[in-house]
Amino acid sequence: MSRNYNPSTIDVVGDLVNGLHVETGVFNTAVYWAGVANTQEELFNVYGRILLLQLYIEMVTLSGGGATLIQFNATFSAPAVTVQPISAASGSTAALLAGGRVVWIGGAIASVPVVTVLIGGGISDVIAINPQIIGSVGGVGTIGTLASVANNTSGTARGNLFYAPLSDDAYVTAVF
Amino acid sequence: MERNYNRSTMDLIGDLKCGLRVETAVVNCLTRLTAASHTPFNIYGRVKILQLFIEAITVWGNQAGTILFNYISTDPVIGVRPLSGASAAVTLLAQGLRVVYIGGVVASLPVITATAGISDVICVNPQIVGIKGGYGTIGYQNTGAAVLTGTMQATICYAPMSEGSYITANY
Repeated sequence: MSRNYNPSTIDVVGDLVNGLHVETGVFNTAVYWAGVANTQEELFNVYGRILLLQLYIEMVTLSGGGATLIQFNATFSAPAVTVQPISAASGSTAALLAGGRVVWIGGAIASVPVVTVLIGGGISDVIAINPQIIGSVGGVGTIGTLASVANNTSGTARGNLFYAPLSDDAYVTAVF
Repeated sequence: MERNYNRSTMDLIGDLKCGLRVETAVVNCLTRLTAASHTPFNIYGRVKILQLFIEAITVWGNQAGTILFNYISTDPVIGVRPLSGASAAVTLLAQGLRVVYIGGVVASLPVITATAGISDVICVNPQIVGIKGGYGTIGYQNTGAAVLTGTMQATICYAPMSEGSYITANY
């Protein structure tokens, strides 16, 4: 027996279980993941303080060559804090199939994001179970990525973030 | 894509995911971080503490305060009991830094992540605190030097665990 819910109801259940979901537009990884130049790209705007529950980048089309490593980080304009890591650098993202993900696993800042590279993609068996608190009361910042080591040669991807507000009026928007 | 929710709906999702959130007012460290116990929260009944932290709203003074979180049961009378060990020194704690209770065993030390706005080690092992039908306070003790300048705000997120239980802020 399956529930005969309206899709909007199903979406709300998702928000209640997973946290509020924010997704970026599709981006060109050859542009965003220029690892040789250590390209920094902002994906999400953070207003106030949030509980960061899940964060990952999912390939829309195959990632081509280039053993680019991805690190998640946060930057704040209020109070002013230069870019700070919220994870270590991932393993190589070369040949990451459509549906494959670079998954932030939360916990200590030194934790390494998991790049799940499986035939057909679509499975992430290691995800965040230890959230982080990001931002501060009345603060403004961004969550983004730092690419390193090698340039990605082709592919497209999308960023996904799931959160819960942890101060009055806190929220997250996609940068693009 | 973002949800186009009313603010109250987003706040409700926050309560469902993080627990019911209660915050104190923003207060001066001069009055609320003396070298003594302080009781920011009243607890009625039994709750599960999901998150508990103190955030520096403006930079704190150049004094080596150390903070442990505690619980005092007034009814029944039990007296002050630690919920954590004592943190590292909070000397010159910058705006946006937090002293974070991490739950788990009561000897666990609160964590201060060294970057404003980022707390990478938070409570993932909640504690059950309080007594069915009882009354007490959840707070902290500065076991080091009194902090003389700066402002702070304490936040607790909880879930009720006995009928009628709840938490209020004392200031």
